[in-house]
Amino acid sequence: MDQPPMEMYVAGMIALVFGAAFWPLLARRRADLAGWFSAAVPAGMFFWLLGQVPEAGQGVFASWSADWVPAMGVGIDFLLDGPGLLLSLLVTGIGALILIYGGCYLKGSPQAAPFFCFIHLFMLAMLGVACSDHFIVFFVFWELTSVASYLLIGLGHAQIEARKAALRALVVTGAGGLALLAGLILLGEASGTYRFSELQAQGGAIVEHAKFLPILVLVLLGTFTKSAQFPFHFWLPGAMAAPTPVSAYLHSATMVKAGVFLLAKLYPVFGQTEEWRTTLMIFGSLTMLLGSLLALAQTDLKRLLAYSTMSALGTLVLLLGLGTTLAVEAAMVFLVVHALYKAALFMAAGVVDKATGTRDITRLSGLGAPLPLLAVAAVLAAFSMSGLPPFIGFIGKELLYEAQVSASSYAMLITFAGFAASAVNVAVAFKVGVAPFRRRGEVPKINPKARQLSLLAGPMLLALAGTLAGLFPDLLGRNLLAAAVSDVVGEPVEVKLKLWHGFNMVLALSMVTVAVGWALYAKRERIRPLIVILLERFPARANEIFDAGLQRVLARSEKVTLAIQHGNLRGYIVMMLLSLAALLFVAVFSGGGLGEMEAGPLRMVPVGVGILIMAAAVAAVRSNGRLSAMLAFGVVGFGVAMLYALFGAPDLALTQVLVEALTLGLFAFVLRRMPLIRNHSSKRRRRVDFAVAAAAGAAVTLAMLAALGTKQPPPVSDEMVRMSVPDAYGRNIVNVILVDFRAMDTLGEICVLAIAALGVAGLLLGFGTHNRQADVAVATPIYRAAVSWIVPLLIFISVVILLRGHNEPGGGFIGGLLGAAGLVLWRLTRGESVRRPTWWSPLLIGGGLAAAVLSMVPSLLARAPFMQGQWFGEVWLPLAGKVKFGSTFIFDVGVFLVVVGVTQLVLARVLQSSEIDVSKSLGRRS
Amino acid sequence: MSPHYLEIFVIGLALTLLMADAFFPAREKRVIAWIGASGLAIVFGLLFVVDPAALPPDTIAPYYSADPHALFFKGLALIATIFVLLLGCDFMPVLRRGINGADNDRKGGVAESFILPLFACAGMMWMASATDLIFLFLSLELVTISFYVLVASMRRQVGSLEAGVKYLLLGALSTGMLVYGITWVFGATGMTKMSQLAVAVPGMTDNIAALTFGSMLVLAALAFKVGLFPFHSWIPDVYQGAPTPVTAFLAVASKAAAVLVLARFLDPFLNNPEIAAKLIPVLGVISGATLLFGNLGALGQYNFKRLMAYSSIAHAGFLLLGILGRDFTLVSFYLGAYVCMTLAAFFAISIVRRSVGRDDLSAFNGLARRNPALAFTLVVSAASLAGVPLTAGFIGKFGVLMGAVNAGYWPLVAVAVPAAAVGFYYYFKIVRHMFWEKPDDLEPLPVGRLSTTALALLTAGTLVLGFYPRLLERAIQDAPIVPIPAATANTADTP
Repeated sequence: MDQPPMEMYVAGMIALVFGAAFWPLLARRRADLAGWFSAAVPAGMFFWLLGQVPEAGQGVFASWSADWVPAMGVGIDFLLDGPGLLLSLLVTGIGALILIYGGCYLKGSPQAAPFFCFIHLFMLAMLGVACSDHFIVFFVFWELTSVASYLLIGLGHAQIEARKAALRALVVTGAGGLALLAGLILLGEASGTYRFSELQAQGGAIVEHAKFLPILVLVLLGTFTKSAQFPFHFWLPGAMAAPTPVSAYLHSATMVKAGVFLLAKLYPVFGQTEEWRTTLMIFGSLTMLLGSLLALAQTDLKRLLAYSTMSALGTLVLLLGLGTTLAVEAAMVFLVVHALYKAALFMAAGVVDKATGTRDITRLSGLGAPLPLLAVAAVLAAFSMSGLPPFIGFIGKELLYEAQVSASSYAMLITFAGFAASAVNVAVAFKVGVAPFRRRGEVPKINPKARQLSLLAGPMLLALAGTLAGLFPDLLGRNLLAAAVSDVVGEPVEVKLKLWHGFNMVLALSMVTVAVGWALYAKRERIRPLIVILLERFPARANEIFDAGLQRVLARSEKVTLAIQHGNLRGYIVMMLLSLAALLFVAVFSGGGLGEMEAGPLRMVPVGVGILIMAAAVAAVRSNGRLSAMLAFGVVGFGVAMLYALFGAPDLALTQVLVEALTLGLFAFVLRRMPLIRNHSSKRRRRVDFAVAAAAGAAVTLAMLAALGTKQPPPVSDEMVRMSVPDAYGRNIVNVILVDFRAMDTLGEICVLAIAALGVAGLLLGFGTHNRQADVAVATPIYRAAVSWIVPLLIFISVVILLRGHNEPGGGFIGGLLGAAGLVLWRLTRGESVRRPTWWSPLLIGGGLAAAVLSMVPSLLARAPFMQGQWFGEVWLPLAGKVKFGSTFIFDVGVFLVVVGVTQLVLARVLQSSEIDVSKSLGRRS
Repeated sequence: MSPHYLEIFVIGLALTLLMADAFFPAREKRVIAWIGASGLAIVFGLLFVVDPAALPPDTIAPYYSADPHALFFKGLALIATIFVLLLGCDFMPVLRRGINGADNDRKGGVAESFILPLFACAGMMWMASATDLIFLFLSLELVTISFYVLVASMRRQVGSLEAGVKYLLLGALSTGMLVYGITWVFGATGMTKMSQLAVAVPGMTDNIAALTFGSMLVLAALAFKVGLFPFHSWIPDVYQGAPTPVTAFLAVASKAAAVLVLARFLDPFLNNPEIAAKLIPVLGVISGATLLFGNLGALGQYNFKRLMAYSSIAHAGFLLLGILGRDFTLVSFYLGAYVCMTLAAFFAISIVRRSVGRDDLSAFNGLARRNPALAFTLVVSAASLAGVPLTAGFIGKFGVLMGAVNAGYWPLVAVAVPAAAVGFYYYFKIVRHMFWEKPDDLEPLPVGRLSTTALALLTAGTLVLGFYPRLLERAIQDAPIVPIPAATANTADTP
């Protein structure tokens, strides 16, 4: 048979999305109407799903698929298998009732609009969880349920407790969700399929995989957090801070069942392994017992129900850990049973709350008279919960005991634990569903709003369903549960539910349970204080431990962050240098250390220069003044220039010398006007600085030594040398490279230079108008006299260098630097103030850039490659003699102008601006 | 049309605006931003028109490629710049106060805040296309130097100046490393072209030491730009101190461009088994440490901008993990998603800053009541940053995790999963402030029409990419990271 389509289902999901956007608008004014109208979609889906049940009983499931992220192999594959159908029915059926109930419950509250938005999203997410066959799509919906739950719990955000609870729920389920994601990805990689259906078809093959244990742990983490298993149970009672409709829906009937649902989906894969069974049995029983114990101590209706839900979830996990078909059958039945009575009781508790304004069972009584319909519903649900015949709860409990009695290991222990939990269950059922309605003394006055049909419809219908299902269990069992159980077990199973099993041990157990439960209920006033005292003996509560742990993580992370991110620039630089050194050390020593070194002839002069450089570096560290430190650095720079010269790069050396000189000059200007700060670094700091510098230097040195054996590829310079004269008519190769071969890069460079100058200028713009020139002028007569002839000479030489640059050492860049240096000297002599802004430096920069751009034009006109030099013939230039004249020369002039302009602009701005207030520099911050 | 005109157009636009502002200063500087943004929008349109094959083969093609990744990143840079300019418009009152102080008469310097991003944008577009290490270095510097200026541009504020100085000094250090590293690579191979390196390096057995040093140095320098631990230290201080539009620009565009360059540069080296054996552990440690530090550091933050700084470090860790997983289509997708969600967050920060006057998280208290729509966009953005399903951020994180699992980097997966979980905590802290805390005043918080449009677009982008991720994947088409044009693969390194 073909798989029936599930377009209706998908359409319903889309309708929910629109509902999430639309119903809040109506809910803002008439939440009750929004409730009734919006219930139509889930109700419709519920009946459509009912129609699918008979086919599902035959093992034929509806499916639907579409592409989503094909690059990662993720497709939206929906498959409505047995458990999925079961969960979908619960989600839509109870969902419709909750919408009606919630609309009335929240009418007039500011929470109504967000409630309708989030609850629709949540319903969508749950339906997605129920039917997604692909791991990742499943996970997407799974996480959405967590987020929607966070938002729904947070609705009651006026109370600090609600916020804390929502946060706990989010952190626990969010972290668990990510563990699940990791587990699912691992599972997908290990098994080769990302689809549950295919995985189930493989059976338990994956168990042999090496990654089996991590997969199991991660997946169980995800499910245990979601289904509130010990030790992650604490978020569930806290989540009761949510409005009652939310608690009724999310935290009893649907969301918390998602974990159990996933366990059921994975049962065919892991169900028969020892690890799975042991873990589930231990944690399931612990949760079941702890939940029961805690429930006995409660007086709040919702908290009572919450702990009994926790106990029920433990029971479900325990059943899935037993590993028998009977246990699975019991689990599936109990899943439905629990959802029916628990949602009804939750809703009833909400109405009670609404009617009396309290949920304290010690103060509630006599509500049966003013709220007769509710009393009937609550009592029916309570009977079902306590496992009395002829309710569905009875069938559930019979199966439960049957499964526990026939457990393969520790049957006695498990049965006893189950018995204890069931007995408490009976007591809770009576406390919630019976006690508030029994008459003891006068009839209380109630809020008449609690009598509305919208509030009563939900609990009544659910209680009725529980009763009918108990009377005619085959309605439920034959198709729906059979399909679910068959899918989980992996083979066709016939589920025959019946009320009467004959007189046997299970029936006896049931009767004793009810009796003991009744006793617990009757003596509740005595037992509760005992339990409370007992619980206080526990050293700590789980949520306290969690909160304290969270605080500790926060404090610790803050401490670490503060230690690393202290805000101190010096520390940052130290960290960067040390990290770099570490990287290089790793590179050296992971490669077997230093290789063999070839000892070349030792040249004395470079060694001497090297020693000079090192001495200067040490001096820079040790010096006490800024100026002396800077001069020492200058020596380092000049030393490097000498090394360039010694190793055959005169042009480079020249450039380095000039840059160094110019930098020193600019530095001198700035430093002279900085406020004098003594003790800017202590001796200890300097020692640290020295050590850090030495470490970085050592790392780089080691790196160089290790790479000494590098086989040089043919140097690119050969090629350039060869082509320099024929292609570019220049003998100064560096200059030819700059203005012709890589003119594009040079153009970029001078652009960058110009932007930097603009930046400096912009930064210093308008910091007062005080002219500092007079303060910094060096106005000794000898200096003035010297400068008066040195400056013109320097400028003259700079032009010469520019002109002859193409063939001899020199060029626009060096020429520009020299000219700029001359102008700096000139400015130093000028004591009088120059208040006018230097209009000509921007002009120089602009003109220079323009010239550089202009030099491209010939190549464009000649349709030659972009920026290739174009030659116009020979010209005679003063001082340079006859040279080939071409577009590159224009370019060189442009470079010259930009360099001069930039230095002058920066200088002028520095001189014009007044002090920046640096005293308020920021302190340490994390 | 040849693609290389795109950058020329952007530079031309920037120069024109610069000149125009110098000679005909407009009273309303917004005009400059508007012209800039519209010009960039036109360039963005041209992206779909250009013909990569039309590159002049001899002159431009050796340095420049217009492969799908490059075009994608150009688009990203353009979009980011457009939004940053619009953000600047919105932020102008704060900007002006920061630049000119209390006396609002002088209007100097505001225009530069709109023009310099254009230069940076051109630089980033060149970075995306640069296939020659020297060209790459230059374009990177164009970007960085523009940023030095932009970061410090609110010079009346000590915070901005402090940020500028820190960025400048640390940045200069990283620039040094970059050049030095490139020198080593060149020294060992004689090549500066990435296409040649991509062919030659994987098979090299000589000069392994030199190549390793070179790659380590470049890695350190680019780690600085991307914000990877332990080279991240500038990020929190600079992000907090810089003007918000500049912070957004740094967080989004600068990082995206640097990630592309990092991936491109590393690719040949990771293909050489000997070098990869040294690089991969280092990259793994860096990625893990970045994930831990970014996420844990974000936990204690109460300033939104600083929180975003740590978040950007955390995302850098994920991005590096993606690079390690060698799925560059995914990394591109992650960046596209990151651009949308981060920009939206910064828009919200700037709006709140403008009207509340602070950018602490407490300034967002009760935003859900003061402006529900703005709160909603911020929820989407936070959810996406945290990696909640059905947002773009989820697809990115999920893909990265899957890639790491595929590649078998188990320790990294073990770090990345808890790190992502921690993210939930601090991103939802924003949501808590907006929905749960009581505001100081209940006045509705106005949002300009411009910002509304921008926020709507960005939020839509975040959601659409989450629902329909194929949209971005199509743009990239699984192209190789390093484009190897058949014609230039074997030519010598000559102009």
